[in-house]
Amino acid sequence: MTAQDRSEPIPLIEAGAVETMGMDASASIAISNVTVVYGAGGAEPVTALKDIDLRMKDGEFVSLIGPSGCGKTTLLKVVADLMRPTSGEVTIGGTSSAELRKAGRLGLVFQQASLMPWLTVRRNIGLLRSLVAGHGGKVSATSTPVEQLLDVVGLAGFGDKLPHQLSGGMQQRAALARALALDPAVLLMDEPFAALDEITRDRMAFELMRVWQQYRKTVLFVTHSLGEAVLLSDRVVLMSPRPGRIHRIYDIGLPRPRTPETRLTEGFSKLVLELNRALYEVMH
Amino acid sequence: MTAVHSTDDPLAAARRPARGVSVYAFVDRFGPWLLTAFLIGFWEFAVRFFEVPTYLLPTPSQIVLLMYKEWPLIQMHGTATITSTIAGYVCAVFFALLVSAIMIRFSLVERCLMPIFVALQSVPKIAIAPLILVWVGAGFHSKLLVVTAIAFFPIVINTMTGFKEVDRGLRDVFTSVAATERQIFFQLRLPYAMPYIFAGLRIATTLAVLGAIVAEYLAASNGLGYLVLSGSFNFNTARSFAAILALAIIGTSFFGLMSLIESRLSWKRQASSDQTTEG
Repeated sequence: MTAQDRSEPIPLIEAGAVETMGMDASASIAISNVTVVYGAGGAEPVTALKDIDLRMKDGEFVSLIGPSGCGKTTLLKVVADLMRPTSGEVTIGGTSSAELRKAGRLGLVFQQASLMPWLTVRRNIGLLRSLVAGHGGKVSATSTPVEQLLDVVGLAGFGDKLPHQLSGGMQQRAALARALALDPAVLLMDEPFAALDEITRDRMAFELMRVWQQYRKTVLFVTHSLGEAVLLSDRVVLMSPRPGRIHRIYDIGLPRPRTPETRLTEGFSKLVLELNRALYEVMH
Repeated sequence: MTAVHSTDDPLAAARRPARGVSVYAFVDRFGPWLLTAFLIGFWEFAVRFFEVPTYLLPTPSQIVLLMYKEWPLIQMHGTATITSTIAGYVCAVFFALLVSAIMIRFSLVERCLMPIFVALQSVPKIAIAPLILVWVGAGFHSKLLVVTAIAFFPIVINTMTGFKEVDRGLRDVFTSVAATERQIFFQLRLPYAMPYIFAGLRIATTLAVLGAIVAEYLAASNGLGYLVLSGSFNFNTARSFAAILALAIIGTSFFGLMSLIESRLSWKRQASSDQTTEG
């Protein structure tokens, strides 16, 4: 359940092992040679991503950081199958991300909570699950009931509220619960706390870690906060802009579970400092 | 002595604004009613005092008395107007929603039709009412058609605005689980557009009543519009006024009914910070 068994290397799932992927399981992510060119064939094609190669282990927490314009969000969209790469491919647990999206097994959380303003929090959380069931997808038998999810994300008692009655942080909790309700193979998060104030943001980071410890989903997390990246991640991927590519990957060896005290340790400060320096280099 | 004086003064000062506030609150609350009552009273008084002939301007009391005496007549014509207004309105709502749904599903249809609708929106459609009468002939059908034609456009324009303005983020949420077109329409676009649709529906209520009256002015043997017209032709001005009063009541009730339905069916756009403290 905790840091000890997580520290062992987990073998990548082979391409043939799709069937064995249990409904409750999370999955590894393999990003192979992904290149994205905007306006390809046009007068001025812009290469947003070039030859991105990244393997994520099952249950691993990986953050993408880098200056704006380095293609972090584009990469996340490619993994989420919201955008087709010009070349290269993404597989999740051996399956293409397109297939997983159709099966409703991709959990997405964006910067905006994007809750339906006319649905109660409870129905918002159940929405995607019912959509998947409605278009013939299979809803995982082991997926957590909505009531329990409300509890997990700390929204017990708020199920009947409408989104506009919640604070920004609570709205993001609901968005996280909505993603978890799908029993997703992976969680893809695009600056989920960027719109929140500093204090709420901090609390949400620890909440996310607690939930992650509980569900142990593979998480790809885009952020522009170095501290957040170091605190949360197993690995931090630093990207460089124009064209977007992976500059360096940092292993964050800090012991889990991580607490507010983790940030006071020397190891933490060193890593943040190192990342800061590297980020500065990348930008100049 | 001075001590007594100084405690007395602020008390008196405090009492005076208190009375001012209560009068202010009373006027603030009932002002429109008081003013209306005053104007009606003034009308009654002025007509009697200056001995204005009844065929020019009847007194309010004469109008009310006539409404009471001729109630079956007003009721009969009122029913005719209400029937054609509601029938035409329902037709307009049905076709407007249907056409909007088709346009949002097939963008080519939208690109062909929408510019025409937008252009027609600014044309006073009431002007074509005589032509409709020429084509369809006098009677219920022409009335229905005039009402439908005039109420159709604001509903289409508003509905399409709502359908098209669906928040990008909300759409991404639906796309992230590969939701079908059908799901996106019924569970995203339609509920999202509700406040817009109802804005159109409310405007359309007023226009529907207007359409019915104009059709009745032009060629009809019944309806409140006809009653207004016949009253003025026969110098029975009190009857015209009674019909106008009935029309006002119908229009207001119709509008109020739509607002009531809206509060049951639709959600309201709200600033996210508005009610956070309440929750």
